[in-house]
Amino acid sequence: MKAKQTGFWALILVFFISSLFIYSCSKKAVKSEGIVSKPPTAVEDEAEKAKKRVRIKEQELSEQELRERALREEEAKRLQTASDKAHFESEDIYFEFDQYILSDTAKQNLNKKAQWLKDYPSAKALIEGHCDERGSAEYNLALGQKRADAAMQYLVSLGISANRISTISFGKEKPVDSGSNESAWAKNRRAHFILK
Amino acid sequence: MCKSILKFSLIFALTVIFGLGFLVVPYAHSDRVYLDIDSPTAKKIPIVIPDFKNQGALDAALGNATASLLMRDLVFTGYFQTIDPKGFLGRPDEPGSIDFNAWTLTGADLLVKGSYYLSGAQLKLEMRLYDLLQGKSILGKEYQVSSRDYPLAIHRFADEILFLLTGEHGPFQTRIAFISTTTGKKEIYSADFDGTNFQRLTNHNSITLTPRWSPRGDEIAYTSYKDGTPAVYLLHLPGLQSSRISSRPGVNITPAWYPDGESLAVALNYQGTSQILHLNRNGTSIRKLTQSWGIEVSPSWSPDGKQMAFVSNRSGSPQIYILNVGTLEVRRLTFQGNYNVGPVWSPKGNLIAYAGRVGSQFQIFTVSPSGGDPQRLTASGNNESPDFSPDGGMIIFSSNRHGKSAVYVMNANGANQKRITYLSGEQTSPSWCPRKLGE
Repeated sequence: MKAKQTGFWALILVFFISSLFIYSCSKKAVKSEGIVSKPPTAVEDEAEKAKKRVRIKEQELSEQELRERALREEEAKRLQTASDKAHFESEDIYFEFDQYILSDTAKQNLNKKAQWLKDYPSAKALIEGHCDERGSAEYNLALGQKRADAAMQYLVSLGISANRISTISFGKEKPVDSGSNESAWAKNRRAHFILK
Repeated sequence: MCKSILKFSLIFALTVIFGLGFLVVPYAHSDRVYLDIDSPTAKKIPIVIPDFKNQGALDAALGNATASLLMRDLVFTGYFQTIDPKGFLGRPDEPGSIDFNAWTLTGADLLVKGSYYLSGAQLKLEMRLYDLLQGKSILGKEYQVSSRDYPLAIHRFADEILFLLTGEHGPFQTRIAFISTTTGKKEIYSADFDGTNFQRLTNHNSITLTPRWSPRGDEIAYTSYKDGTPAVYLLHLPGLQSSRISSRPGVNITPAWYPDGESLAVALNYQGTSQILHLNRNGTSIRKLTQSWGIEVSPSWSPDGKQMAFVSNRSGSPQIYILNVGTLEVRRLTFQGNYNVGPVWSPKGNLIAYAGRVGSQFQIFTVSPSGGDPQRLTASGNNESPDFSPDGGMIIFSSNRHGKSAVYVMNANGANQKRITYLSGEQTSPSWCPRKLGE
């Protein structure tokens, strides 16, 4: 009976010791694993950081690019607006002698002006009607009014509110070209547009 | 000398009106017809005017100025031919004794002898017209004016001569208005009938157009951009205040006085096109006179106010039409050429003058208001904006025949065309005041 008990405790002891051994081994193993895995981890961090830096840099770059692009676009848009505005004011429409019928070219020009007026709904325009030097000053005053009115009516037909447009005739009083030849006359028979 | 002064004071009782005294010496009008101004082939009357004689102690040195101004006035009409008094070889004339035969040998048919007497600032002028063929005086007048105003007396005597010889008054006591760019801007100017004594009437510093004298001569209706848009104004003379009478949306242009001076026809925007409306002188509407979808401008009333000439493009190009004001019926007047504008009715009602395009330039025409063949009066350069003198005998117009545009006059038959404005800049759109000065 006593021998059975001693053997039991011995077994437990062995078990205990071996378990200790196993523990220390396993602990050693974990430890050694840690040591082994340490150098690769550091490399990885550096690479990761570098990557991140690149990513951030890339991101920064693209943000700047985006900002610049936006600025460029804004500027382009601003320039476009200014240019459209300038074109709106600088591109006259032209008429035949003693006529106030709109040519196809004049209508194309007016289509652009109508679009611009739609894009800028607060803008208001003044249309000046002008004539060449031939004919009476009096008749040309009425003719210039007809030209301005024709341009206005076309813009209104494209959906521009009539209260955004006003007209005035200068007859033959304000030629752009003071010459007395067909090329000067052709330039002077015009409707001129001014944004208010 | 004293004797002659005494003689003057005995013979003449002086009437003073507005500082200008005059007296009619009762010479019977001759039955002889001197000048048929309606005849296109009328021969010019040769006339001689020696320097006026000084009758006083003070010599105002006006002898040549007075005689040459009278000659200039008479020649201006186109009815007279100047004869040089140096051709007179007879004995010096004594008062009451004139060597008619010797004067006839100069080639003249008529002789004017004048004398003046200066007393302080007052000038007494005596002038007599002699018919050399009949050997007698046919007109005599004495005027008393301040010496500075002697031209008024000369102009008045010239008018008397013309009335005696033609039955029509001359333009010598009238004013004209026109547009000039002398300042760089279009402003209204006025001047004597011959372009002298000019004066700027507006200072709008804008675009100012189409001055039109009122029938009474105390206002000028016109168009100006001075407040931004083409509006119609009245300029009140002599104070030169202007009042706006119509600034409706669009054009307010080409005012034309109704004969009574109480209303005007004006071209206005009406439903998108320029139409002619009859407005009160305060600008309120009386009624609409024309009806078309085209352009209608430049009205001119007949002297009786029953008809109105105007420009319309209802046929496709500007032409002149006549409106029956009672019925509002319209008939077309011009059929020659494709651009006829600026009609103006003669004061006698028998002619309408206008500018019509021939080739690339405008010429002045006249035509009977009842129609028929127009008569072309001008040939070279652009000739525009005709207007009649108050008696209808002359036409004022603008022309660029010598380069820049200036004001010219001619007889109503086109004879005797001459330039009368020599200001810097360009002169356009003349209007002849229907009233004589001081009337």
